[in-house]
Amino acid sequence: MRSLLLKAGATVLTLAAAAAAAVHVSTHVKNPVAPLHPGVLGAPPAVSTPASGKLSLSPAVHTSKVETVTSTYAS
Amino acid sequence: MALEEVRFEALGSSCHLLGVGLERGRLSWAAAWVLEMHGRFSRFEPDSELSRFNSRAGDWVEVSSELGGMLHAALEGYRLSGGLVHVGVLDSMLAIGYSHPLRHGLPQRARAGAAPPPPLPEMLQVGDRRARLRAGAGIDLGGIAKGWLADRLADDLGENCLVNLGGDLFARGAGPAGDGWPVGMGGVTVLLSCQGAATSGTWRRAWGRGDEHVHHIIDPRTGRPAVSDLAEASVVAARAVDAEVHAKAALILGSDRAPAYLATYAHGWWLAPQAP
Repeated sequence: MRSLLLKAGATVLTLAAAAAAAVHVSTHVKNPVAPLHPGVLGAPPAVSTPASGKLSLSPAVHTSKVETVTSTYAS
Repeated sequence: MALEEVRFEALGSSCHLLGVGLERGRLSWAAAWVLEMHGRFSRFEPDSELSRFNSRAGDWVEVSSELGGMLHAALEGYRLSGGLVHVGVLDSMLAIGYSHPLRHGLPQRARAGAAPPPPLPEMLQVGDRRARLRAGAGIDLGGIAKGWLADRLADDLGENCLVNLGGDLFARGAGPAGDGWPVGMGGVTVLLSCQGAATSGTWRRAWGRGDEHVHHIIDPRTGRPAVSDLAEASVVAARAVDAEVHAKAALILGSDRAPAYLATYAHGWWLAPQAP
């Protein structure tokens, strides 16, 4: 009788631990702030942007996406 | 019609000439003309017309039509900029060590600063094919020469061309696609047609670090390199020489005052602050 109670107790304890582990794992699929989080899965790398500055154009000048043929930085 | 171009070094800078539908051999002629102008108007060439003019300060000197044109442009630039663009800062240039072309090496330590120059009209008189520089004075035409020469060459090169002399440029005609010449300025591409553009920056022709950082934009009010919160000013204007004058004046004025100044004279501009 005593051995039967011990076996039942061990079984209940095992099932409870398994259930608790399942709940924990299902609610912690990934940790976005994990210190070893691979960089490649993080934010996309910054895109190079033009130098900061303020542009002001009159109607006599238009901007374009066309490739430049020369620039004012030739010095 | 095909776009033709040629690149070469002259005027202490990289030069780039482009054209559409030009007469055969026109670009070669233009490059040779620029190289001839370099020999005549560089202050680093001891036998140049400019060096001889400086060496005869105090006398009335006969000048070529080109030197006369540049001197008139210098006086006009001085007037338009309220005195901020001043070709009479040669002493200051020498004081910061800019006594030789930078391709020969960066200047060594600067000596004691030069005094602010007197007003340009008091230093320089220009008449009909002759001019007089005040005794003891000297001039450095710098960007005024490049802008003036770019305007002049574009007039002669062809009806659809772009002349870029060290960043001082004039775009004439409708460009390769008919909607203007696409030119990089600041962080954007602008389409220019019968317009000039130039950039003035404290990061170009500069040397040293920290407290010893020196650049070639002289503030004539102090006789020393300009202290500005702007690192760069790029300007589009009616002519290259105008763009050169207004870009330099805007850089010296700084971000607070430059927009109001440029709104009077420029077709467009890009102002970039100093890095924090």
